Amino acid sequence: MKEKNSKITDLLALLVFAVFALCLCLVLLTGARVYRNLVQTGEETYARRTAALYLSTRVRQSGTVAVEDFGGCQALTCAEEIDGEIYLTRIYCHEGYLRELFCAENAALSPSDGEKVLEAENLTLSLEGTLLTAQLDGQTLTFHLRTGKEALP
Amino acid sequence: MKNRASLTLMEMLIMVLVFSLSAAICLGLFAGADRLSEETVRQDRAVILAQNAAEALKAGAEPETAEDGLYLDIREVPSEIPGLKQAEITVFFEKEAIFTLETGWQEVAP
Repeated sequence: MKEKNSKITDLLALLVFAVFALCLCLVLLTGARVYRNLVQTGEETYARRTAALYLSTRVRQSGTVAVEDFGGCQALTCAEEIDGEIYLTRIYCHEGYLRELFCAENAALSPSDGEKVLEAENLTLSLEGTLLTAQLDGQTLTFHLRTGKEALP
Repeated sequence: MKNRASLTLMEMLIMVLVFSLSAAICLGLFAGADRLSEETVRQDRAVILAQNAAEALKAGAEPETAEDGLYLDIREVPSEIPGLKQAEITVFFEKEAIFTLETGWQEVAP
């Protein structure tokens, strides 16, 4: 009888320890999941905000902005004159990256020659009057072109 | 022997009690962190939505007033300077204002 009681007590202690271990594992797994979600959300927010700021800065810096086709991709083209020559900065999405290409107006270059800026899948642009709308990976950005110029020089 | 076993059981119960209190606090903090992260993402989207609306107003176009659970309220603010238009753009989420942007632009004669 005493032996039986002793076994029951031992079993009970083991059971309590098992419950403790299980709760510990649950808390650790929950913490790990929350941390992973936080980091992932932070990275996505950073990428989205950086892309928006990059496009916004580029559009505001440029004198003339246009939307044109560049090797099958829609590109935001900003023109500037340096020492009497026209140079173009093209911003477009190609092979999973948002790219920037700075070149002379008549340079024969392809979309793969651009420098990778950020990871992005798709950039859709539309220019209606002075309103430029850019859709980058589902995020919509709108710019009012203050100068009102929409054509290349 | 029996006393030792009972003592061990008692210690274990106290240990589980202390752990439960700590776990409850930790889980509360995890939930808070998750909620804070969601609020940050929402505020980020609200800022971009308000900026887009401001740009559309400047261009004389109709701004998007709702997107993914967020909705805008645009209120024209009277301006003392002739030719200057002002507006206050407030972004709401579930009837709570989460971001306000004041904007101004020059009225362009048609």
